[in-house]
Amino acid sequence: MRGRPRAGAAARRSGVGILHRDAVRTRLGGEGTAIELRLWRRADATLLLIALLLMAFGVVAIASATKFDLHDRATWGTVERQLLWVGLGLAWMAVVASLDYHVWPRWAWPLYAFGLGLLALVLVAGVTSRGAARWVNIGPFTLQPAEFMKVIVIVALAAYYAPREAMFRTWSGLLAAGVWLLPPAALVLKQPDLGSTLVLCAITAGLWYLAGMPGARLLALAAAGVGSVAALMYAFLHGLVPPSAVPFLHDYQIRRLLVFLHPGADKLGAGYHVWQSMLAIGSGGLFGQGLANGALNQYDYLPESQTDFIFAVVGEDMGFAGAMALVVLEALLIWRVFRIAASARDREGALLAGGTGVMLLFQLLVNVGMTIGLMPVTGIPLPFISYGGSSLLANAWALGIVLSVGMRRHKLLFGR
Amino acid sequence: MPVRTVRRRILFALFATFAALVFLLGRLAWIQFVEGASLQKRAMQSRTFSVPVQAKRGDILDRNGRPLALSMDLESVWANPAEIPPEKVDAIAAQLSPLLGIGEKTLQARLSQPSAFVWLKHALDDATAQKVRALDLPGIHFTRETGRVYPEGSLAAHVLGFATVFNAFYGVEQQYNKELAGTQGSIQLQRDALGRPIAGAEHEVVAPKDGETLVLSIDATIQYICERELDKAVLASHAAAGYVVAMDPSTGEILCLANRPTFDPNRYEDYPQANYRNRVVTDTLSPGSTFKPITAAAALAEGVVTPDTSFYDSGAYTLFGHTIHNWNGAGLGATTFAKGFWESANTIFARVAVMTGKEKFYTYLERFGLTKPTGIDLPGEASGIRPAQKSATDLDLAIMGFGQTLTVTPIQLVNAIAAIANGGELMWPHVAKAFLDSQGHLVRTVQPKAVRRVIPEATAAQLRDLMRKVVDEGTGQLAQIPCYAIAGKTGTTQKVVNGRVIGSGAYIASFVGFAPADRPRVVLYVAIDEPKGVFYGGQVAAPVFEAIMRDVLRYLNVPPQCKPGEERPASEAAPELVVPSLVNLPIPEALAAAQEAGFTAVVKGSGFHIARQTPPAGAKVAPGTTIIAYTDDSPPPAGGQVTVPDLRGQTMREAARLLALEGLKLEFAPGSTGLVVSQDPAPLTLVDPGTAVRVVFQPPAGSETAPDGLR
Repeated sequence: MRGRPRAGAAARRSGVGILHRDAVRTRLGGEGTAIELRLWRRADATLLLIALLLMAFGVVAIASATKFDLHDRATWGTVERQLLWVGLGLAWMAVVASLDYHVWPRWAWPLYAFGLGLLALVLVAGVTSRGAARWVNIGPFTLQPAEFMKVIVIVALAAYYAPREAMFRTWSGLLAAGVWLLPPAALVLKQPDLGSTLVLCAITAGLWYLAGMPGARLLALAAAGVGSVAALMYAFLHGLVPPSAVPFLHDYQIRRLLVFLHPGADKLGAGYHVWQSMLAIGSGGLFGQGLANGALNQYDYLPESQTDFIFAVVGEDMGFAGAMALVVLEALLIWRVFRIAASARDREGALLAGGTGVMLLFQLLVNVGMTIGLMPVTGIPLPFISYGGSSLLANAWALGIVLSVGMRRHKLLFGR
Repeated sequence: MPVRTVRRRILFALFATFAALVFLLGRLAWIQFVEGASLQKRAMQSRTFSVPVQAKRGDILDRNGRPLALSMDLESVWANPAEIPPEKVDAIAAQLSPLLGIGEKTLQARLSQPSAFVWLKHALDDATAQKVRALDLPGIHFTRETGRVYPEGSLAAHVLGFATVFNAFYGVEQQYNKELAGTQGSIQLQRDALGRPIAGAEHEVVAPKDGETLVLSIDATIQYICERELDKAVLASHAAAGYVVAMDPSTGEILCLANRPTFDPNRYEDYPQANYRNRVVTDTLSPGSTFKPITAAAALAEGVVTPDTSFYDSGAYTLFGHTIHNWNGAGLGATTFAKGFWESANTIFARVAVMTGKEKFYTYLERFGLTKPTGIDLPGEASGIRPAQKSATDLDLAIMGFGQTLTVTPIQLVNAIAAIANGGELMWPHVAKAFLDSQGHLVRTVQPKAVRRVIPEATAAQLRDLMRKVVDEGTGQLAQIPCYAIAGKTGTTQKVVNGRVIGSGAYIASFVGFAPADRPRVVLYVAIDEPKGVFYGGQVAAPVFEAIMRDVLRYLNVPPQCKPGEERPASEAAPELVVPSLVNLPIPEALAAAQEAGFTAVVKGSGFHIARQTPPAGAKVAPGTTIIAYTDDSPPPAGGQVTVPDLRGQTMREAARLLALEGLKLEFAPGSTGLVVSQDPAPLTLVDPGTAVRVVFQPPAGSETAPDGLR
């Protein structure tokens, strides 16, 4: 591992603006690693199947959320686009799975720089919607760089941590391990996108743990983090600090966090999303109101119903049965991802797959949690279900890497 | 082994995944199964809204089914701002503003409210509703509401009160609001998050329950007679106010109840609030001499006096250093209680009250219902006050004996007199007679209620005789009606406000009585508040009583019982004629018109056309009355002065009527009878309204009908 050239130099040579695939091909030619079709026989078919089921589930839920009507072409738009993203995502996943996953750590730093560049572009020329600039226009599509940044951070940290197991034993090494998080996290928070920021933090913390940070140290850090957040909350609740005094966070973000502690306190204001979401899910019962029949979604009471609150649509339309199926499928997917991480041939593979597992787990927990009043409301999509091309392509990318790790796993583990 | 560390830690991650799964599913089950039902209900609540549907308010009818208050279905218009595209708000406001009579700015504000239901205007008339409907504007809707119409205008306004779309005020509208209003219905609609109604969503309709129809004991004809005569009297005497109540003494049913000033419930907002007050029920006043029958009742029932008990009346009665005088300062000399009654001698009543004693006197106050509200079914009833029994002195008692220092409401007094009229039983006065459902079927009748026996039959009969003498021979002669036996009592009270006599000219002239005296059908109370000029009850209120009672008795088909030689009622013997309008006619034509109508006319001024006349056109007067016609060049009387009509040769009643038409007062010596022989000021003199015209009567030569004992 040590013999590998620093990716940054290559990125500088090929230029940051070059599309990933071109860069990949250049490296492939150099390394002479061919796409081996026979490797596909080792692919985790269960993982693929679950991913396909989830994407199909997502399309159905989005159809319901957007009042899809087979007889009314005007209602097809969102579903059509999501189907396109699913197709693109599957193709992209296949391509990524076919590549040796080592290509990503090798190109980690150009990717990291490219991601930061996109995030900076968002701040300068972003598309603003509802007070947040999170998108950039790429041709006919709008791209949400923060979604890709999640995968890039996994790749970058995996590349950095894999050869440096010992670094977590010193405080300076710890500092170095954390530094990589700061630029993307700061840029994403500036948009503002608290949800993605939290995901980036979660990925980092998860990778610290997986990469071998000593348990005691991790516990100490966790305690410090939880303690400071708790202290801040206490200060707010008792009016010791005005919300405007907090750096980085917006008023509404703090109000939503506080509302989480007092559910139902502000049903028409900061608590509106959660309240409507809980009403919707509560109305679902065991088998739900039927597809495209949930009143709160159909009559527009449910905000962001095809994106962040898609789970409320599932809960209202398909009831406990549907919602449970969805959560179980997501958990199974994460289980398969972690299983692949555990079977990886090397630390890079394990950290790439493990980081993906952490990312998916955190998003599942926070997204579903916020719709049922367990977590504060932050804009985090439900993987493979929420509408959105960036999220789907980014997740497909991560899942492709995981598949690749699985296909190239340690032979001894499974006795082949 | 580096990878092994990772693997070990991934095991923990798997455990974390499983924990997250359990955590999420547990919470999901809690929300969907444990809280599900209540959340579902609240979701439903948050998307339903209800449009009220008013129940039809019950009608109010008089005792013969004549409508006094009707409900009409009116359309009210409301808006659902959510259905109105913001860019159309201004245009819609501009279209609706002139139709609804609401300012554009106000409409714009209402149409952009973040709500799904905003009232725009209540009670549109049909034409406007049609026009608004024709515009077919988005988000503009209609609902049925009830509008109130009072077809008789101000007739019985104080009995009725008035109702708006939201509420009912005063009168039976307020008193029986619950019965009249019915129960409001509603339409429950579902709306989406933006407030737009959800098409095809189930909506629940709760039908309104229409209100009950109220049948009053009021007789619209009697009410009309009462109000007509009250109007005339208040106008003629320039009084501040006036009250009339008529009651059926056998049942306690109110037949008419009127106040002046009054209001038109159709346009209640055009009148000062003070006009809404039904002072007959809400205000107390000193009854004065109209109270004397109560003192007499106590004394007679307790055997303190009989009608024949002898008194010597010097015209003054001194008690604790205070001297009580008779109204004219004169004494009757050696006399009886009966004569003291019909001549209304204060001194005698002061003595009788003291003779009766405090305990018994107060007991009768209580029995006659003068210490508590009568419980009449009209809102805001007051009750009179009196010196506390414990601390009342003989002086208080003496003064109370002739109706001073204590107060009663007119309705309390009427009710007490009705107890004398019906043989001694106090009834519950009421205006509601029955309730009908919206289909007109009888729901329930209001039964007359006897409160208690107050005095024995025999005492009541004695009192009726005494009161009859008041009209036949005493202070109430102007209340006489040919061929009917009338009983009554006059009253003249200095107005007392907060225990002080106010002004020197503030009097209440009143008369309370009943007819026929032996079998009373109607008890009638008349009070003229602050008449200008003459203020004696016998001269101001008694003629009003007479005018009302005469028509009421005729209306009720009470058979006249003429004594031998007594003339038929004036109207039958010599029907009244309507004064023609001479205004704008050339003099010769005016004279001809007057003659043709049965009058003589005198022209004043040197112009060619008649500009004014007196009596005014439309007035009903005796044939042969002189009409004074002024030509257009004659200066209008200064400061609203009026011309004194020629009264010579007229009867007392006619003289009073002619003077009343000009707003003048009749003044004459008590006990006068016959026809007018002279008057002061002289005919055609210009005087201020309210001036008293002193008239001397003389029985026609050879007349034998003048009662004995009158000088």
